[in-house]
Amino acid sequence: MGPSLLLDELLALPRWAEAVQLLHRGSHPSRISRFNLTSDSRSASSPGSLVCLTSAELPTWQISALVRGAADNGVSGVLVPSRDVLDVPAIRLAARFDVTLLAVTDETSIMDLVVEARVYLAAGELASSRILLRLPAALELDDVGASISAAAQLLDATIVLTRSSGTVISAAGPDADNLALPTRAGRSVDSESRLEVFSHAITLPGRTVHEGWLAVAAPIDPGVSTAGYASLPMLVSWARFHLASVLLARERDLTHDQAVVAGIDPVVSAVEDDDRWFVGLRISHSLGKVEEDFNRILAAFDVEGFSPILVKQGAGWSGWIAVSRGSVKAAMRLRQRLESVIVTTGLRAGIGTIRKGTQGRFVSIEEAALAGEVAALRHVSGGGLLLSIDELSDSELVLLALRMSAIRSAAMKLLGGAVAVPELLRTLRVYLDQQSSLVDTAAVLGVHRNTVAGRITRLQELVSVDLGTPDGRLAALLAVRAFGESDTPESPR
Amino acid sequence: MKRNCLPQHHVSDAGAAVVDLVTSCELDALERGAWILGAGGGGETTVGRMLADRAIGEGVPLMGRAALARVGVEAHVLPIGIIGASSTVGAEFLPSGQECLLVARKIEELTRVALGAVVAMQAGGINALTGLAAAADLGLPLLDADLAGGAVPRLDQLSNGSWEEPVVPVVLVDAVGRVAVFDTADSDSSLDSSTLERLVRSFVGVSTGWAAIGFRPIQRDRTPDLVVWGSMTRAINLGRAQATQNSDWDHYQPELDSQVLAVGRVVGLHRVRDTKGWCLVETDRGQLCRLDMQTEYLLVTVDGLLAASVPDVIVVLERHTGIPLATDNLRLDFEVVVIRLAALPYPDDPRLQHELSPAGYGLESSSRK
Repeated sequence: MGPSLLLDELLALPRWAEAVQLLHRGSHPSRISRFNLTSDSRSASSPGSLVCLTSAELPTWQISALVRGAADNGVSGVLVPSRDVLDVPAIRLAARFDVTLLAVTDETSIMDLVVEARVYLAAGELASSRILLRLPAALELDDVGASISAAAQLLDATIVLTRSSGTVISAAGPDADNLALPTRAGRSVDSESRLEVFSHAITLPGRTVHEGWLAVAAPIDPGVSTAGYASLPMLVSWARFHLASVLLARERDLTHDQAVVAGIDPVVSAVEDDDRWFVGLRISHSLGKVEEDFNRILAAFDVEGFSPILVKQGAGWSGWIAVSRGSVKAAMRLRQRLESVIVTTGLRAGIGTIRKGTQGRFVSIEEAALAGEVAALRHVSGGGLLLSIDELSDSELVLLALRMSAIRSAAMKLLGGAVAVPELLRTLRVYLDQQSSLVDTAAVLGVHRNTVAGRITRLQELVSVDLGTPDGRLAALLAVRAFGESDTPESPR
Repeated sequence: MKRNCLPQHHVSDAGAAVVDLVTSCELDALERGAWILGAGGGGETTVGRMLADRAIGEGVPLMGRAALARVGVEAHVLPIGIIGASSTVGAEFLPSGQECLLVARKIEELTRVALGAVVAMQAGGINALTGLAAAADLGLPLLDADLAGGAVPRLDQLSNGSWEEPVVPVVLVDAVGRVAVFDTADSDSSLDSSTLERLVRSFVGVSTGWAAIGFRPIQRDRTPDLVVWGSMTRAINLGRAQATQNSDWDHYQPELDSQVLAVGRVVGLHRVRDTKGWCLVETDRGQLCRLDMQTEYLLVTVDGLLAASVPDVIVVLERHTGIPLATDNLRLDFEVVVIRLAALPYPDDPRLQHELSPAGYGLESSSRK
C-alpha cells in the first residue's frame, strides 16, 4: 500500500482548499491513494482512488453513470471539472450511494490539482530518495569511523559495526553508547530504550561463519524512516566489503607459504600502500586443472615483471598488483598477456581500475570482483574470459545489483508460484521482453497465441503484481531478472 | 354512423401480412397506441382522431409487406404526415382536412407517378391518424409501416432517406393553403437531409406553425427497404393492451420484449429552452430513475445504470390512469410508470443507425465509441 491522504488532508493543500467545493461527503472518512484521470464515464477506477473527470463536455446522464461506476468500485470520491456538470440527479445519486463528490471552479485545472496532490503523496519518497542518493558518498569516506558517522547522521539513526568477537569497529549516532551489542540477526525492540534495532550478521562469500555484526537502531517513535529501511542492504553490503578487506589483509599473512610457493615475495605487501597505485584482480574457476591454469597465469605476471598478491578466496583468488609510474606500459601488456592465457583455460577473471592508496586498492579489488562475477555469468563458447570493470555495460552492472540476495528473495515473493513452473517463468520473461505482445511472445516460444494468453492468465493469478499496469510489468521484469531463469527447477518432463 | 364492430375486423397480432381493414372500431386502439408510440412526443392526437373519424368511412385497407405486391409494379407509395408544433394544430390553426389531399395532388403533379399506397410518416402521435385519414381521402391502402418506428424529431431520422435515397420533391401545405416545394434543379444536384430539415423548419416557423408534408413517392420495389414494417398494427395492439390494463404495473407486459423500468414519483424536473431536459423519478423501491428527453423520451438510467435508450421506445404513463404522458406534460409529484418497448427493425443504413442512436441526439460524449 502506497502513501495516502485523508480527504481533509487533501482539501487542506493550498490549491485544493480554494478550488474545490465539497458538495457531498460520504459517511466514512475517505482515504485517497491514487488519482484516476478520465474523460468519459467508463473510468477504470479502483478502491482508494479519486476519479477525476477531465472533460466538461460529458452529457450529464453520463456523470450519473460515472458516479454509479465509482460507487461500485469503492472509490474514495469523484472530482468533476465544473459545478455546472453536476445536476440534481447526479448529486442525488451520489448521496444515495454515499459517494464523495467534488467540483472545481472553472478557473482551476484538474491536472494542476492532481499534480500537486501527487507531489505531496510522493514527498516522503522524495526525501528518502535524496538520503539514499547521498548515502554512497558517505560510505566512500576514507575512514570507517567517518563513514559510519556520516551515515548515522544522514539516516538520523545509530549504527554500530563490530567484529564477530564483539569488538566494536565503529559506532555513531545518538544511542551509540546505550545500544546493546547484537548477538542475533533480525529485528528487535528494546523496550527500555524504546529503540527498534535491525541486526545483520555479516557473512563473506564462500564462508559459513559470520565475520561481524552491523546494527542500525532508531527510536520506535517516530520509527525507522523509509530511507532507513531502504538503506539497510547498502549498509550491509558496505560492511561486508569492509570486513572482506580486513580479512584479506589478515589472510595475506596466512598465505605466506602459498605466496612463496608461487614465487612471490610477501614482503612487498607489507609496504605502506597510501602513496602507491594498485589494480584489483579476481580470478575464479569451476572445475578442471586449476593448479596448472593458475601457474600459467603466475607465469604471465612474471614475464611482465609484476608480483601479484593473490589469496585464495572461495572458488578462486583475489588480490592486486602494484603499478609504478614506470610500469604502466608493462601493465597494459600484462592485460593482453593475461587475456591470451585465460582464453585457453576455463578460468574467468575480472580486473579493477587503477586506483591510489589503501582505500583505492580496496575499491579496485571490489571492482575486480564485480567484473569477475559478470565474466563468470556471461556466456562464452569454450575457453575462459577476462573482463575489466570498464568493459561492463551499465545494464550489466544494474543486473548484477539485482542479483543481491535481498532483492532475489523479494523477487521470489513477487513471482510466487510461478517460480516452480519453468515454462510459465520463461513465458513471463519473453512476454515482458516482447513488450507484452502475445503475438511476438508466441513467435519466440513457438507456441500458439492462445497458449500464451492462457499462460499469462495463469501467471496473473500466481504473481503478486498486476501485469496490466506499467508499474506491475516493470516490477515483474526486474523480479525475473533478479531471480534468473536458470534458478528454476528442471521441468519434470 | 357508428359502425358495428365485429371481431373479424380486428387486426391480427402477427401484423398485416396480407390486407386487413382498419375500421372505426380500431380507431380507439390506434389512437391510444399512437399516443404510446409517440414516446412522449409525436404530437397530440385529438385533431388527428377527428380527421380519421371524418375520413374513414367503411375502413382503410392495411397492407403488410407481403401484400405490397398487390399494387402495380409501377405504383408508388406516398409518405405523408404533419410536421410542426402539434399544439397549434388543435389550438390555434385548425386544419381544414384538405391539407394532405393538396400535398398528394401537388406531389403527383411534380413527379407524374401513380400512387398505389400511403405510408404514415410516423406511427407515433398524430401522424398515425393523419396518415390513415390521408389514405382514406385518397382512396388508397395504408401500409402497415411508418418511417420512424414511432416518433422522431428530425426529418433526417426518417427511414425513407436511408441509403441516400432522394426524398425530394418535398411538398408542404400550411393551415391557410400556402404551398412550399423543396426540390433540386436536376438529378445532379443534391439536397441533403439535414439541410432539408432546416429548410422545412424555416417554412413551418414563419407560416402557421405546422404543415402537412409529403415526400417523393417511393417505388413499390424500393419500399420494403425504406420503411419500418409493423408499426401500425403495433400501435393498434398496444392500444388494446393498454385499454385493459389495471394498475398492476409489476406484471404489465404489453409486448414480449418490453419492461417496466420504474414505478414512482417525479421528484425532479428540468427543461432547457423547452427542447431538452431531464426528469428524475424516485421509485417505490428507493431507486433513482433518470429520463433524458427532448421532444421525446430518449434515455433512461436507473441508479446510474443505463436501462434504455433510443431507438427503443420509452413511454411514461400516469400511474393510476395509464394515460401516456408527453414530455411537456410532466409535472413534479406526478406518479408515473416508465416503460421500455424494443425498437422495431429499421433499415440498417449506418447513417440512419447513427442518427437514431443516443449519439444522434447528442447524448454520447465524443470520446465514447
